[in-house]
Amino acid sequence: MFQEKCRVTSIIQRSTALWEVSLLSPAISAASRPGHFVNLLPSDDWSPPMRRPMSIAAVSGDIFRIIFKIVGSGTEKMRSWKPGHLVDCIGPLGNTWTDYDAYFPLLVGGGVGIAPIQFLHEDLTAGRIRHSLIAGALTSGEHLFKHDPDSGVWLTTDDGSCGISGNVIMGLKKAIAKIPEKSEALKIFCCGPPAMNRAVGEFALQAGIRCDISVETVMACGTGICQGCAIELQQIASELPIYRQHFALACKDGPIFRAELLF
Amino acid sequence: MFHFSFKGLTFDSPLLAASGTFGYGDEVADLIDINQLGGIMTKSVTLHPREGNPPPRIAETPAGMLNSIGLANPGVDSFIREILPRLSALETAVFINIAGSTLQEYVEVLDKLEKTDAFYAGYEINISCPNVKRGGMAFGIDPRTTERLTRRLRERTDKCLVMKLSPNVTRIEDIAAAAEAGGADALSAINTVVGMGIDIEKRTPLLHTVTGGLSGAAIKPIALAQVYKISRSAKLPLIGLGGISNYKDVIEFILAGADLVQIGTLNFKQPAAAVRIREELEAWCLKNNIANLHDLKGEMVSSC
Repeated sequence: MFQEKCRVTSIIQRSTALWEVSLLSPAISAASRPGHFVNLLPSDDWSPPMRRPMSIAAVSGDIFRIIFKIVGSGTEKMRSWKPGHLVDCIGPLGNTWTDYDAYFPLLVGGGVGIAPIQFLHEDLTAGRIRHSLIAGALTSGEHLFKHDPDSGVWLTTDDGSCGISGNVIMGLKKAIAKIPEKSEALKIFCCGPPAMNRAVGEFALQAGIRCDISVETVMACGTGICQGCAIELQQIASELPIYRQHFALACKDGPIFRAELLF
Repeated sequence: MFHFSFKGLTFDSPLLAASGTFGYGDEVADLIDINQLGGIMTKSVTLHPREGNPPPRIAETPAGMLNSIGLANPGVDSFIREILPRLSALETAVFINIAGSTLQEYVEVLDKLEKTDAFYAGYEINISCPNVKRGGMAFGIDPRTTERLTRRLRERTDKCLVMKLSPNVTRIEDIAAAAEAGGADALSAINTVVGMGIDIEKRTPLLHTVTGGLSGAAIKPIALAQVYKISRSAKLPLIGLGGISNYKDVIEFILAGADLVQIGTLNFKQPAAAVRIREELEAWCLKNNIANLHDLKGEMVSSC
């Protein structure tokens, strides 16, 4: 874990809904793995009072990238950042995606939740690990990828403006139908809004497919100190310290949890 | 720059980490030299492990945050086994914060800790947690209960005994007097201020427990007034806390009557805040020719 003032090297609008910031930090970049997040400080004063957790969306050399959507005062402030601006970041934090070489990986991302999925997608692509990527959005302008089923990239849109018309579950079913592997040889890696996470988690449990989900919560410290980011688990997670087996911490025990713990 | 001693403890920094905002000292060990702190108040320890309150447990508010963690902690046995040996090796003063649902629970936790041969400065007794159904703040809103609990603990330890007071009372000076009468060595004030928030679209409370504790810069004026009130009546050393954001806030608390201070919610933003503020204080003392910042304790000048 490092704390650094990271210089903004670029800030671009990646889609109608999403912005991408590139930040310079050799230490954080070198230590980051797909699934990790940073907890960044939008402002030095008390507006807003808390740091903002942001999944790492990509790493190239000394630079790591994050993707954000404007939802409130913190992200509104972030949009005004210019190259050269220094951002106080703590990271990398949290756990990482695992076991993606033991199964056929099905990557599912929705909304701003595409960030940790994109990082994993790039990592698997670089490692020549065969996988499918299913990305969901309301409309075509929100997508970061091109619909290309032959390369394993499936887009869905709620309004049918590109890719498959419908939600990511429909995309998942089509992606699964196209590969020879059976359910027990598959693993889903998912990050999206709560309703999408639930739908994907329940689909996976029903279909008997292993599934890990990265959750998003309000967070203060990001390091396990404040214990504010508790997630209520549906099963006792015996691998965690006894007092966190029911209410686990998204920052330290997560943000990635097995679907059966969440739903 | 700063020097203050009491109960055989010497402080060369006035800045301690507040309970619940610095864990057990290891979480951010990569980011701060802990021995640069004046001391650490640990996260509250209870007799049994506590899973805490259901989420949501925190919410942002203007210049502050609401929390209702519910004293989630591994319990005293696990604390003694897994955490205390590490804390014992620190050079900085470690105060173990104890919470309980009943008087007996506070006593049992203290007894278990006393039986160890670990090295630490003493205890901070949480009689001011607003976020648990039983105990917690109940011990800090009635002077007789505060005095009884303080006395019971005093009889059982020679270590430094700090009672942490709640601002959610009519007359905090009466609770301070009760802790003093019970034999406390020092007081810390304030714990969080009871507060709440509502999501108007969903019409749901921001916290699962509806009300919680407000902290951060928003409560600094409240904390300062409470510290001032206590210092005018109690003789005990006083540790001020509540919304400290920078060196100026620290000097304000000392002028209002605090001997030491704690950094709380600021640690979530800046884990090394106490180190930075210490440097700022040194620069300010140098500029103003102040040999010992503690000399300013209670030195506020009445304007009229």
